[in-house]
Amino acid sequence: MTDKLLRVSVEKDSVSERDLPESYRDLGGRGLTSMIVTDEVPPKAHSLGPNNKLVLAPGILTGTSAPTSGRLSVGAKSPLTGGVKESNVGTSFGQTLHRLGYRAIVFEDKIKEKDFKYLKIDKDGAKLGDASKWNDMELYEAFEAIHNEFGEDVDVCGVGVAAELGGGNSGLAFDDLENKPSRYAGRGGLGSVLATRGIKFIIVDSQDAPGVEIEDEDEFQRGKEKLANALGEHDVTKPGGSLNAYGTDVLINIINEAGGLPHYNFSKGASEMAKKVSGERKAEIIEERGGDRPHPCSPGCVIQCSENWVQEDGEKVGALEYESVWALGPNCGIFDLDTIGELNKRCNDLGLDTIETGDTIAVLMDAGLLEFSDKQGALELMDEVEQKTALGRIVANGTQYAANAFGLNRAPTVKGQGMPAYDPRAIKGIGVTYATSPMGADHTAGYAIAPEILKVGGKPDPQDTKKGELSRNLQSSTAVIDSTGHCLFIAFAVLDIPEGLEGVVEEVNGVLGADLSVGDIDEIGSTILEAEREFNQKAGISKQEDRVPEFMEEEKVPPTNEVFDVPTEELEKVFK
Amino acid sequence: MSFKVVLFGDLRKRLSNKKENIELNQEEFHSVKDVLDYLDIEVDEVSHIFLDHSYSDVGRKIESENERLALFPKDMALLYKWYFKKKE
Repeated sequence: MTDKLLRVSVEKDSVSERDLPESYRDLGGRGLTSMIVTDEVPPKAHSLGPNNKLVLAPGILTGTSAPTSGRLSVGAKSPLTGGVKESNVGTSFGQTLHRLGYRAIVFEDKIKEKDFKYLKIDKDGAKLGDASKWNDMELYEAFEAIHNEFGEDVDVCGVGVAAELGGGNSGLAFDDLENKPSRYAGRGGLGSVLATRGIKFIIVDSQDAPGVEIEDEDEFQRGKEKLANALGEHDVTKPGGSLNAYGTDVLINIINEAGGLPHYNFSKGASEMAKKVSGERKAEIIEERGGDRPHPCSPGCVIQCSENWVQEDGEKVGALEYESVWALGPNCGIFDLDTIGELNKRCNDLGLDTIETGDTIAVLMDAGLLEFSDKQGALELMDEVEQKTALGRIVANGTQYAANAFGLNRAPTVKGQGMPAYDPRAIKGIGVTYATSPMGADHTAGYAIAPEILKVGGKPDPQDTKKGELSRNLQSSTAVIDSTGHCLFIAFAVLDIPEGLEGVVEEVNGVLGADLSVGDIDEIGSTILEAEREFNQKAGISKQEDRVPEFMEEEKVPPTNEVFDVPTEELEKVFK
Repeated sequence: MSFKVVLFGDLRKRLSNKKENIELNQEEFHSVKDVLDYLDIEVDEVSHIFLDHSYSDVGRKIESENERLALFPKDMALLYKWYFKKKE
């Protein structure tokens, strides 16, 4: 089986396959989405215009038996940031896609009429179909209807009302293991890029899929075993470790104690109330109500940090992750997991990114449209999106747009994208990554492998407040992990257990028949980052935009009472 | 003067009746290490230490103005440690 690249144009009613070009052979995930976007999309193209393209690419290892490797990358020019974007999701969809032989799908050409199609891919190829019968459904209902028609075992991707509105706050929803739309490539407004290409749903069927070709099975198995051992041994990632026991939401208490858990639109960094929405509390409720925890986002994950949240009425609605709990919770002054769970479900239904939505609601609260902690008011904003009102369109366009609309200077954004759940004043290192990542404010952009393991940049001094070189190295290694298809959480184990990182490289060598070493990681990551930054520069995003918002340089955040005071020259050193 | 010690994860098993925290008299403890000793917690059982929301070393001195000490076990080492300046 040859690795395939699929091109889809609804406007031209065309679906075509060809062999993956040789120049892309060693790429996957983010590496592949970013290279295709930077090669094929004019940097000045309007993100919702005819010349933008949306790319789906499973990681190099996605679909193999490598542990915790179920990640899929989605890339395009972002309506939110105006730059190249990669949004990453853990789902069986990417595994199926790669097992069917597809290394990437490129959706091109804007539709002239809103006549939405679905794309169905199986062992016999890909074809377009009429999606109008699901047009009036929100995503939970639509996913159920699609599974009823095509079977329980297919995997589904869909975009919702927010994408139809052309929103910068629209994501792509993917199946969780219970076939609900709770796994999201949420960031950057990429849902609207797919919708403007004329696609509402993608269905992939794994039946009789040939599987991922592995060039050197021995090398692959050797690497897989090393990584599995590292993940199984490490305190954070092992069975019964905190990620497994409490989920990603275990970070609530940790970041709260660090003084970096943003509350009330980034007005304070900690509270006694935060524990009400902690991972520990959530795990208790899930157990009381008979939910599922621990739970994988995709088959083959050994960390299993996800869960199936249960509403008060007993309905299981899918994952409720740390960033979503924070954004829709403490950041809005809401400390009630049931309300947060309901807001999360509404986001899933409407195709909204939970981080961007939480930031947007908090900005609207800060601007006085509603009070902080107003649960009902927050839920009513979701109704505005559903009804496609003017206010709903503001919500669907995200944090910066909402702040502009209401004349608020306290917009916690970088390059137009709302910040995730770490205040950069209390956690300055992550602030450097927010500021300088080509992706906009993105916590996952620099959260990976320790520089001394990579043997680049020297051993970092924890006391050193100069974070520029460290951030560059982390962003580079993150770009590589995002290309392999591994979840970033493997970083906890490979940080401390070097054999784990060797294992990742051997897995990749095994699949590709390549001869990479750990020392090559920085160069591969740098190549990806350079292409992304060059695209952004040509798109008009200058280095002056590698900054956190002005109010964070001036406004102290209690209880640490820190401002973001990393010098400009340090930020400029990151990619010098 | 008292200060609050908040324990997370399995460290809570060191307190009776599933309590989350304990009030201690500041004058009886010179450093974070003294608190660990009092609670019968080994240094290598602890990952992140926050004294009044400041990422801290186990040797950090406890001052009269300190109000809150948070201790996380090894399996909660989810912070990217290089991002923090650790106070000693």
